[in-house]
Order: sequence, then C-alpha cells, then structure tokens
Amino acid sequence: MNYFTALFNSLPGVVNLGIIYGIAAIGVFITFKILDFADLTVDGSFATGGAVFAVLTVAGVNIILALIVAFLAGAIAGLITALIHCYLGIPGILSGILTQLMLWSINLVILGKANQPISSRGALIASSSTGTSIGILLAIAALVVGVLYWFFGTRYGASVRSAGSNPAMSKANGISVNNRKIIALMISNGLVALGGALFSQYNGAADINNGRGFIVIALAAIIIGGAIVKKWGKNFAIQLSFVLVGGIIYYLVYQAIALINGINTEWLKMLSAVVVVIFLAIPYVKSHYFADWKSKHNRKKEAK
Amino acid sequence: MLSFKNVNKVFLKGTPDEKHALKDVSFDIKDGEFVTIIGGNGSGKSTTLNILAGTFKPDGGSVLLNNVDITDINENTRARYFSRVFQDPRMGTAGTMSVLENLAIASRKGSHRGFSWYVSKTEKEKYKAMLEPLHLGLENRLSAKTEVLSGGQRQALTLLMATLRAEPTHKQIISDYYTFSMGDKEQAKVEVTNAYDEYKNEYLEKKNEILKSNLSRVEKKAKIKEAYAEFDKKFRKYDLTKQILLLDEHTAALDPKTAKKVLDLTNQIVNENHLTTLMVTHNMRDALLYGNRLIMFYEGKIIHDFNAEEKKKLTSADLLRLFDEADEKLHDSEN
Repeated sequence: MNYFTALFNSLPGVVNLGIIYGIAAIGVFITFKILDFADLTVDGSFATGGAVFAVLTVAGVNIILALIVAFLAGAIAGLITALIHCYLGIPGILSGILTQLMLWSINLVILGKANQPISSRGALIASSSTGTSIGILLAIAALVVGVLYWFFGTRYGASVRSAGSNPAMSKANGISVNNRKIIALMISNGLVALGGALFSQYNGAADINNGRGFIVIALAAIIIGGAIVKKWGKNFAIQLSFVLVGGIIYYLVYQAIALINGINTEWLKMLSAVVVVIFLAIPYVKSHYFADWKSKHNRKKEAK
Repeated sequence: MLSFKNVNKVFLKGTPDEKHALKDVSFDIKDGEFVTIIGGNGSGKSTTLNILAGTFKPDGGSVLLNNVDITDINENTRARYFSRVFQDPRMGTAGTMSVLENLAIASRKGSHRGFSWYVSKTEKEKYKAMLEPLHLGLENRLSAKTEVLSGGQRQALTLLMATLRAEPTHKQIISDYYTFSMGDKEQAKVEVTNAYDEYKNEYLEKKNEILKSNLSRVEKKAKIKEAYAEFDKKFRKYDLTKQILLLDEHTAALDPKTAKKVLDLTNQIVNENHLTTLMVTHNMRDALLYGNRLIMFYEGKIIHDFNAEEKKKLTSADLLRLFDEADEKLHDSEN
C-alpha cells in the first residue's frame, strides 16, 4: 500500500512536470509532425532555455522577461540548425546533432558551471507549491496552444504546413520552402527552450544535463497524445492539447517505475527509453502482427 | 510569348553516367498556344518543363518570357507565371492537408501570405462552385485530406489549383506591364502609369462627391466600395500575366477512363481560360487529339514541330514512323 500512497502523493509533481515537458514537446510536434523534420537540436535548446533563464534571474531580471529571452535563445538555436540544413545542404538529422553539440559548449559558457541554483524568491512555479504552479503552467500552455492554433490557421501558417507536407507542391505554388523551415525550426526550438526555462524554475536549478534525452520524452508525449486524440477528432488545438496530456501520462508511467522499491536510479534512462519503444511500437504491432493474427484467426473460423 | 534560347542541360557532368539531356534547344511558344510534347524516355521533354518551372537551371542558354530573361528567377518566385501538374498524383497536392486548404494555398500563389485566416467564407463558396462541375463529389468533401482521395480526384484538384492564383496588386500590374511589354518599354511604362493615374483620379473624384453628398454613413461606405471596385476592374485589363500551364504526363498514372476524364477537363480549363499550355505525354493519340501544336523530342533535340494545320493531318502511325526514321538516322551516324 505504501507504494500507491507514494505514487498518489507524487501526482501534483507529476502533473507539473508533465505539463512542462508537454509545452516543450509541443515545440517538437511542430518539427516532427508539421515539418516532417527529425530535429535533434532540442536536447541542446532545452538546456539552453534553462541556462539563459537561470543566469538572467540570478542577475535580477524580471521572470517574464527572462522566459521571453529564453524563448528567443532557443529560437536562435533553431535558426542555426535551419541555416546549416537549408544553405549548407547538410541532412536535417545531422544538422540538429551538430547544433546540439555546439550548444553543449555554449550552455557551459552561459552557465559558467555545470549547475546553477535559482532562488525561489518571486518564482512563478516551484516544486514546493504544486497547486499554484499547475494553474500558472496551464495558463502558459493555453496561451501557447492558442497562439499556435491561430498561427497555423493563417495564410502564412498554412504555407508552413504545406512546406512540411509537400515541398515540391509548395514551391510550385510560390512558397519558399527554406523560409518556412527556418520559421518552423525557430518557433519549435523557442518553445523547447521555454519548456527548459520552466523546468529549471520548477526544480530551482539549471543543469547542463537537463536536456539529455529530452527528444525521447517529447516523442513519447506526442505519440501517447496522438494515440488518444485519434478518437477525439482532428482539430489542431485538440491535437496540441493532447501533447500535454501525453506528457503527463509519460511522466506518470516514469514515476510509477521510479517509485518501485529498490530500483536503481542508474536504470531510469534505460527504462524511459524502453517506455518510449513500447509506446512507439504499439501502432505498428497492432497494424502488423496483430492484424496478421486476426486475419489468420478469422480465416480459420470461416474454414470451420 | 515563352522562349527557349539555345538551352543546354547536362546531368552528372564529368562522370561516366553523363547525360546530355538538352542539346541547344530553342523554341518560341505564342500566348494561348496549347502545345503537346512527345518523345521517348530521356529525350528531354520533362527536363524542358522542369527548366521552364525553374526546378532545374540550364547549363547554357536562357529562358525568356516575352523577351525578358527569367533564367535566374528561382522556382517559387516564378510560380506566379507557371502552374504545374505532375505525373505522380501525390505530387500536386499537400496530402496531409484538406481539399479546402490546398485550394486556399493555390489561390495565394504569387502573393504575399499574410496573417489573415487562410480562407474566408466567400472564398469557400467560390471553391465549392468551382468543384461542382467536376462531378467528383469533392464539393462535399472540402475537409477531407487529399491523401485519401483517388488519383483521378487528386489530378483534377491539382488542375483546378493550377488555374488559381492571387490577383496581382496594382503595383504588380504596372511593373509587369512594362517589364513584359514586347514593344518599347519606356513607352509602355508611361502608358500604364498614365492609365492608372487617370482611373485613380476618376475614383478619387467620385469618392469626394460621395463624401460631400448627404447620404448616410453606411450608404456612403457602400458607394465608395462600389466606385473602387469599378476602378479596380477597369485597371485590371492592363494585367498581362496569365498562368502558363505545365503538364508533365499528368494522366500517366491513371486508368484509361479516368485519364480521359482528366484530359477532357484539362482541355475545358485551357479553352475557357485561354491558357498557354505545354503538355508532355507518352500517348500519341492524346498528343494528336488535344492542343494546336505538336513538338517531337528525340535525344535532347526537337526533331519535328507541327503547327495546327499539319497536326490535323497526322496519325499515330505517322508519328511512329518519324521516330523510327530518327532511330535509323542515329544508327547511320554512329556506324
């Protein structure tokens, strides 16, 4: 019973971290789902957001302003990936990895050390006040979803979506695909950095290792959210909202495993990767092996 | 007028697989001509369309639109003057987007895409009315993603999208008018700016009159709007640019019945809008049945160019014989 009480007690924290990861995962949604671009910059820009935010708040800058600057720092990281990819002809996945590597150095320079504690004074969100934090995070998430829903519904936003969906058709319709890739990567990494900043604020410290493995968490949130939303229609705002739900579910599963008595924390990264493999594999397994089995079963039935 | 001047294109230059796709190709296509292009695989037909659209840059020579060199204008900027339908039905529309979204994207071709909502209510009605005559039921499936449509439906939709573009602004009309004028450009510039000033002054005078009158504010607004629409309509006759349609074997992936339907639709759209059209096809019968000029490609060169009169007398057998002759000639020269 002790295990379930512990899990129940951890729920507010799970929801907070789930929403934070969810906001950042919405950024990944833009590249992964809309642009059809596997962007690995995000492991770096998540930490960049935290680093910029920490340095600014320690220097006494207003928290809202620090969040905005963190967003912009992430956007610049996205811009670098986009420029390397679009104008130097380096494949997308490699461009992201290269920028991620650059960001490791840059993040160290920004932070000046591997870990920077942030004072909780005047903090918007904190692990010590989970109730108000959830409210504030939901407001930020609603703002992000609202703005993105509007943006991708405009003529310009629609052209960003078409550039991801069919580059040849987009060019034939007068759309500069490179320009749209740049914009999408900037918004995406900006949101990831915003998530990173919120993560640092919530934990009370920015760490150079914060972003490590973030892409896996983001993909998990997107896939889990997408699996649920299939039954809920295809409204874009709902899809984005369910990335947040996906983030929470992922974190809940993670927490459920982490709380198991005697589990070695060194295995947590392994476990989170396995969780993602399982969630990513479900649709494939369902449509392949399960369908095969079902059809065989049906044929046998008919034969009888 | 659309022209190729000594265009050359070599793929994989300097490798053993080097392919001279176009060898010094020149042609002029007059406004309103519907040209069908035939030729074997690798004869240079598709390369020609790709160079026109700006997907490939030629290695030598130039592409001219009304004697203006457009060789260096990149693909997406050129889209203002060219519309394309590809061989693969999946190429022409954004598969993960709806019928409505695809039409809305095409309708902004050649213009700046701002931050207003991607489609308005009146536009939606307009698209519905455009889709109805196709008899494909697409008017009731506006929110369906195009990836779930059949190949024929997608090609028909792409054709419709090819006829759409943003109405050019007054500024664009003026600059296009003298840039693409075939005669004296200075004179054309004076002509078009004078016309613009004249119409605009007319409109402004009318507007002043309306403002001075003792109508209600709502009535005034409506009248001013009316006067502006009249001015706009009058000036649009100076709009020289019209989409040039590039069709790259656009029925090759369709079953014969659907192919026929799409071709008839093509013919109808081209005739209704008086579009200059280049249609690449492998089907000799279609090449003879449609269009009013026929160009034959062979090994990167144009070997025959038939006008409407000559084309009427041709049969599929004639075309095959001409290809055989070209083959023999090539063998003779090689031996």
